[in-house]
Amino acid sequence: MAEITQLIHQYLRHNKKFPLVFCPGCGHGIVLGSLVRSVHALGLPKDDVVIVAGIGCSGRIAAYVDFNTVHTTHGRALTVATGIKMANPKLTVIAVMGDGDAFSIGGNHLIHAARRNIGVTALVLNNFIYGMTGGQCSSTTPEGAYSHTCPQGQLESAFDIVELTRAAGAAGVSRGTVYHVKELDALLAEAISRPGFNLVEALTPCFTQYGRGNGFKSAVEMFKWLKASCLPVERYEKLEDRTGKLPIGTFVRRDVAGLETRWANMRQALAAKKGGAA
Amino acid sequence: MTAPRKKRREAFLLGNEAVVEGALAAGCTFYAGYPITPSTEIMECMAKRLPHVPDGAFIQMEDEIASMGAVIGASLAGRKAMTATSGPGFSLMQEQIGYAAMTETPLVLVNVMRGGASTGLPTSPGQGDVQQARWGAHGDHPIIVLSAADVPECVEMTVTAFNFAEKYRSPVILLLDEITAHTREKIELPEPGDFEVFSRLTPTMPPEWYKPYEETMRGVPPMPPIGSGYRFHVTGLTHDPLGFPTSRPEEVRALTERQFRKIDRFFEDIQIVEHVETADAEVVVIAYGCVARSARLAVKQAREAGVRAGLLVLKTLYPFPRRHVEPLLRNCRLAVVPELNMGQLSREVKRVNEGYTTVRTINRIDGQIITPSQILKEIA
Amino acid sequence: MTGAPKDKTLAKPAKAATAKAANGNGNGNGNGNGQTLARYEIRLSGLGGQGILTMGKLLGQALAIGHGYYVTQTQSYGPEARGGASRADLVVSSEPISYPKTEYLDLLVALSQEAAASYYSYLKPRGALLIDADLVRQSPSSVALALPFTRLAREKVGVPQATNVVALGAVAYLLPFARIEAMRKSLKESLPEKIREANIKALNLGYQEAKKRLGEPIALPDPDGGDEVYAARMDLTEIMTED
Repeated sequence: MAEITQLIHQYLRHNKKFPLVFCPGCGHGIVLGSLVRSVHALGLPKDDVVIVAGIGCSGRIAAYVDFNTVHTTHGRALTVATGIKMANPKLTVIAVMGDGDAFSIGGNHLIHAARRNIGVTALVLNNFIYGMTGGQCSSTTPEGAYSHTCPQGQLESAFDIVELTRAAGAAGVSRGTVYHVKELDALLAEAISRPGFNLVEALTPCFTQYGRGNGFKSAVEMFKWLKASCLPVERYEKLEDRTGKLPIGTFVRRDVAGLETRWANMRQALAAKKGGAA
Repeated sequence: MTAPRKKRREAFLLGNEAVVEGALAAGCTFYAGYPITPSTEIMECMAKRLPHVPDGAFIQMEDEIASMGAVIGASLAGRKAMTATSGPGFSLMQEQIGYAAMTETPLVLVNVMRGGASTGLPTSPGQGDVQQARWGAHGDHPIIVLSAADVPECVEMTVTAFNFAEKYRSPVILLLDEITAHTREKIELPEPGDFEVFSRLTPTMPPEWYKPYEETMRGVPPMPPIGSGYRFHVTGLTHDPLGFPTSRPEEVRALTERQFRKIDRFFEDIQIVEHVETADAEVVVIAYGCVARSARLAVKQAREAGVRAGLLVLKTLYPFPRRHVEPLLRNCRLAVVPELNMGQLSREVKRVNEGYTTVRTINRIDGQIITPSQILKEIA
Repeated sequence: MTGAPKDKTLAKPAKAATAKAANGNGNGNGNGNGQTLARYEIRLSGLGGQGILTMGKLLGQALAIGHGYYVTQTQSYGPEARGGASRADLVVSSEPISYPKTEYLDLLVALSQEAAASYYSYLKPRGALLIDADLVRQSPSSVALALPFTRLAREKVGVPQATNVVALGAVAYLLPFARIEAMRKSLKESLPEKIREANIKALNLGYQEAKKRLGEPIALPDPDGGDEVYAARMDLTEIMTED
């Protein structure tokens, strides 16, 4: 408990009024905790950490943490993060986004950030729904699920965030849940330390906007659902019947230099060539 | 502004290339963009130059929205950053322009105007983005819009754009047109000391005392680069002096009013115009961009024909230079506003005129420049 | 292939003393030239791939930096520049140039039949027309200056791509206010080492051929001798809609 208090004092903003804006039962606060713990575990100075957030419930996380925080426009967090990282590669840049943020309105930015492997960690809080606007389907809402904009059930398929980001060329791709907190901490710390573009999908329940409309009796039930359906990728792959199961863990580990590093190397080579010629 | 003459390096450059010279002279070290005619030479030139500039960084983004995002990020990290585009890309950038205005992030955006709406006339000149430059982003926000008429001015006005962006913590839009951007002329390459170069003020107080959106004497709060020990919150939500979201009416009003006041208070500095024989003018042409060049010749010819004509070249379009325009309108019998659009800046002239004199517009939207004789017909 | 038509009349009044001879060309300090020039308009035209745009840039650069004139150079952009018509326009003056586009041409260089036909009507009554003798088989005017630029480049320089620079050499000779040394210097400065020598050769060849076969340089329009025909045709609006 003492350690938690210490982390709170060290990493949460004193001048920001609590409690959090999140609904009771929301998993976002747990992701916030994970973020703080992983940064702490890596021993990163607060001045060197930049949280760039998009719009939506997840975007509000930025205001609470005592890092350099930028709350951008809807879907554009990665573009601003890219600019910051290119401008100052020494900074640890973490983009915090929701599923609608990262994969609907910001989908193009995400696949390009992954393709060019800019050294940014993308933390996507996937709750399968637009929570802040009151429960509309997103590009990760499962087929058949209810939302206010698909009252007869979602007709479209959902993105598999992991597979999409893998295909786009990211250096690292992993998935965790707010039920498996210790694992989430570790996944996030690993992602932050790996060069290039790293994505962590955190499954986090939204009882208010998603759970109630889709047959969950309580927020607790949603956590139980996460517990029951998610299992480590190693075990998942051995399953014969994967119906209703979802793998968690790290799916992609590639050894690539971040774009900012490749840029710096190119500059160095140019300077050496110039120096040699003179 | 020019240093004493010595042997200067000269170059025969496109307006677009001159923009790059101006930007580098102003201390720009970051460019993010997306190719679009007729602005592309700016981007290509930056791609060649920035790897050789100390700390220079360049990135081609996936679209114009992303370009503006990257420019905003770089600026927050302390860089002088810019992008360039044309109409279609400019439309895409509006969301982020609003964000930059709200978060008071300095940046320069060059919009090389093409003809027509939508994809329009990609390789022809137009001036149809004037009102969009002022009001393209949603909500009330202050903004600075500049223009340039020839290649040497492209250098000068780009430097000015960066200076204003840094001085007033504001996005600055430099409107060029295809003619200005694609005309080659001789310029003297800028050298250190040629231009007064302004950089944003950074806080001098310790981090724990710093309030990122505090009222100051100039209305422009100091701005530290991200990562320099001042950890603060930046948001596009209406925010309090600490930068945190607020909806308290007194804080909301204070923010918006300060943002307008920081520009309003310095009209004298920001509103740049050039008077050409306006002192005794009974006919005044008010023009900007490539059309100002035609107007210059037309006014000269009108004078030769015995008409007391004058020309006011607007280099600042917004905030609209009312203090320069209004006195002329009170003393002339006819004002002519030639533009490559259906009448955009003429709206401002008419607003300021308040019925005092006759305001005639010349509007050309066929992708061709308004010629001197077209203007001459109206004034002589 | 026929030879260059040698019987074409020169597009200049026979008696006009050339300014070049009279003024001795300034002294090459790069700032201001001995020659005062009100407004001189040049169009270089041909097909995409003939190097028209490069020629425009080289000529503009030489006149602006090497000679110290005010120059505005504009060009055709867009799809028509590839394979289709290509065009570079220059306005040259001793005074700052207000209107940057060409209005009415003093010199039209046409390296294709299509270009000669389309742009001839923009020529001033006493403007000069310079064509590629082989490629413009039907000159729009009997008063045309002609040299086989493409053939010269291919046969005498050995580099067909140097056609534009051969033409540039001829233009350097024909323009009474241009100096070949300044052209050469500008060319040297702007071209990569690899192709420099061939291009200098092409420039000199164009200059010499023009000197040998085209007679005197073009006479400048008399600034005081009001040209009524010209004045009557000065409706810029009409011209520019086509431009």
